[in-house]
Amino acid sequence: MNTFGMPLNDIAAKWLEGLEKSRGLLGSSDVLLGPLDTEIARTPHDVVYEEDRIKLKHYRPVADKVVETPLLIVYALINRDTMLDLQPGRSVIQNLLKMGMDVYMIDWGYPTRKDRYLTIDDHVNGYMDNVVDFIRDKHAIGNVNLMGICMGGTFSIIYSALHPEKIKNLITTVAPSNFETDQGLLHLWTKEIDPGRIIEAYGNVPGDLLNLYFLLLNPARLVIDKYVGFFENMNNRDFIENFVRMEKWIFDSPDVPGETLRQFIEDCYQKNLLIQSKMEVGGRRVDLTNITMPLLNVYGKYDHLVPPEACELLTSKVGTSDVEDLCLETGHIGTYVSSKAQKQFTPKVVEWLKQREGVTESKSEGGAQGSKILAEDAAKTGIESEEHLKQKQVRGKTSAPKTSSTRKKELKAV
Amino acid sequence: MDQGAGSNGFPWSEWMESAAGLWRSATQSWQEMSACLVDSSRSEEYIQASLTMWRAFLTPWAGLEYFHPEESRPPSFDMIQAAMQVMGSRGMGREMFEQMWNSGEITNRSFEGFRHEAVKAWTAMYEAAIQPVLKVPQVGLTRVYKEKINRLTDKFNAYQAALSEFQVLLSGPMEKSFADMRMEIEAARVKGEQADNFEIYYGMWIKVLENHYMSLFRSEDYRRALTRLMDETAAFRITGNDVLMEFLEFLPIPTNKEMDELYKDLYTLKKQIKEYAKKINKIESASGKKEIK
Repeated sequence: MNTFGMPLNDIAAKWLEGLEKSRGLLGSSDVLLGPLDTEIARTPHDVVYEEDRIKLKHYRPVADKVVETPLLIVYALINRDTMLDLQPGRSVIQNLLKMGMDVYMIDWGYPTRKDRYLTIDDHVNGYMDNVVDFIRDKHAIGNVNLMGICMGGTFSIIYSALHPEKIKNLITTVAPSNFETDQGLLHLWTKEIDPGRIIEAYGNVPGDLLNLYFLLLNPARLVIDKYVGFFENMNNRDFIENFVRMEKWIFDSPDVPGETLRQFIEDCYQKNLLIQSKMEVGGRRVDLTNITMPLLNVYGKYDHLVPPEACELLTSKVGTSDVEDLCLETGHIGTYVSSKAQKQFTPKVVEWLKQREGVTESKSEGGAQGSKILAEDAAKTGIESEEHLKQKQVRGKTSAPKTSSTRKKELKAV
Repeated sequence: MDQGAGSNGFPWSEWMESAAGLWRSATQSWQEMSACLVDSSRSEEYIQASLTMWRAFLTPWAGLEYFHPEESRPPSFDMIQAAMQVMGSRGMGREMFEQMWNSGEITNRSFEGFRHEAVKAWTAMYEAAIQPVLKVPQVGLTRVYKEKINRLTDKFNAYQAALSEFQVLLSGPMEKSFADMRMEIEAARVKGEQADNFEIYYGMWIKVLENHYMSLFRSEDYRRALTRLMDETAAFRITGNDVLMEFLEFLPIPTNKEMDELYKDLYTLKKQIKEYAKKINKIESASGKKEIK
C-alpha cells in the first residue's frame, strides 16, 4: 500500500484505463473536425404574415387534419422559438404536424434599438391581435386555438382575457402567472431589480445579460458540469450534434424590448398584478375571469425558472370550469426537448384539443358535443380514462367547485 | 514587513519580477523572430516601451529601486501576506488596514470573511478618501467635460467595487466545496472506503458545489450584492454613454439620444397609423368596401 491508499496494481490498471479513455477522446478530433449536422428549425414552413420585425410561420401539413381549428403558438420574447423545432425526432412542431394539427407560430425576430419603446400592449393588442385576425380571416373562422410558452404564455393569458371571443381553447405551458413565490430564484432576485435603470442604460435589455442571469441560476450545472459532459462525449457524434444544437438555441438570444420587460418586471414580478386581475394593458384591466374558453395549464415539476407555484394558481382564477393542470416530471425546457416528456406533452395537447374540436361557442351545445366525443373516444378505447371521467364531471357540473384534486393531474415521465 | 516578500516593499514584487522576466524572454524571442519578419522593429520597440512604462509605473509606488527582471524567480503569491503588506506599509492601505484591524475582524475570521471585509473596507476607504476628490467642483471652460470624466471615474470605481463584492460571494461556494471534499476524502480514506473512480468524487463535488450555490443564491447578502452590481453596472454605462455623447457631438453622426428621440416619434406615429388603419378597415368592411392592407 502506498500514500494513495491503493495497491500498485490498481494504480497501474487505472492508469491504463485512463490512457484508453484518452485514446478514445483523441478520436473526438474526427468528430469535431468532420461534418456535423447541427442545423435547427428546419421543418418546412411559409412566412404568411409580416409586420415590423415579426413573422408568422405556417408549417406545411404532413397528415390529414384531426383538428380543423388552427393552433397558434406564441413563444417568449426571451430566446427563440427554434426550441420547438430543434431536430427531427425531438421537434414539438413535427410531432404536432404528424398528429394532424394545423400549426402557426409567431417568430418575434430580433428587436433593434428602435423597438425599445414597444410595450406589452404593442405585443399583445398589436402584433398578436393582428396575427390572430389574419388567421381568422384566412380560415374564415371565428376563433383559433392558442398555445403560449413561458413569457409567451403570459402574453397568451393576457390576450385571452382581453379578446376571449377570438380564442377557442387556451393552452399555457410553463407560463408564469403568479409571481409571488420564493420557489424560483428568478422570482427572488427580480424583486429588487430596478428595470428602469437597466433600460436607461441599454435601451433594450441585452440577450447576453439575460443569459448571464440565467446561467447564474445554477453555475455548477450550467457552467461546469454541462461542459464536463461535453468533453467526456467528444467522440460521440450524436451527442455532440445534439449538444451543439442546444447551444445554438440557448445562446441565440435576442434583446428584449426595454419597455416590455420593464412592465413585465414591475407589474408581474414585483407587484404580481396579473393573477389578481389588476394588471392594465393598453388602458384595459386584464380580468382573468374573462377567460371563459377551456384551459390546459402545463408546467414542469422541476422547472427552476418558472416553478409549479408560479403556474398552478391560474386555473382557479379564470372564468371557466373546463380547466386542467398538467404537471410533467421535467424542467423548464424538458417539456419540449426531452424525448420522455415529448411522448406525453404533444399527444396530450392534440388529444385535449381534439376532444374540444366539436365544441361550439354555445355552452350547452358544446357540452353535449364534447361529451359525445369523449364517449366515442372511450368506446373506441374500451376504457374510461381518468381524463375522460374528469371531463364528464367538468361538463356535467359546470358550476361545480374546483378542487385541486379534480383539476390537477400529475403525469410521471416514462 | 516580511522579508520573504522580496528586495523591495511591494508585496507582489516577486510575481511581477518573474512576469517581467517572462516578458523579457518573450521580447527576446520576438526579437529573434523579428529577423524573419519585414517590419518588426516597431513591434519590438513597442514591447520594450511597454516594459519601461510598466517599470516606471511600479517604481515610485512600490519601491522597485532594484528591479531586475532578468533575475526572474518562480512565482510566490500569498494573497494574505500581500494584502497585509500593502495595507500595513502604504498610506491609503494603512487606513484600510486600520479600519479592519480596529473592527477586530481580521484576526478571527476565515479567509472568506477576510475578503468580504477587504472589499467593504476598500469601499469605505474609497468613499471617504477618493470619492470626495472626484466630486470637487470643476471650473473653467472645460468644466462640463471634466465633471463628466470625474463622474465616469467615480462610477467605474463603484462598478468595480460591486463586481469585486459579487465575485467574492461567487467564489465562496467553490472554496467551501473543495474544503468539504477534502474532509469527505479524508474520512473515506480513514475508513478505507475511498473510491477508486474519479467520476464518483466529481459527482460528489458537483452536488456539494450546487448545494452551496443554492444556499448562497437564497441569501440576503447575495440578493443585495446582485442588485448592487446591476445598479452600478447600469450607472457606469449611463455615465459612459454621457461621456461618449460628448465625443460623438464632435462628429457628423447622430447620438443615441438623438436617435432615441427619433425612434420615439416613429413609434408614436406608427402606433397611431396602425390604429387609424384598423378603424378604417372596420368602417370599410362594414360598408362592403375593399380592405386596406
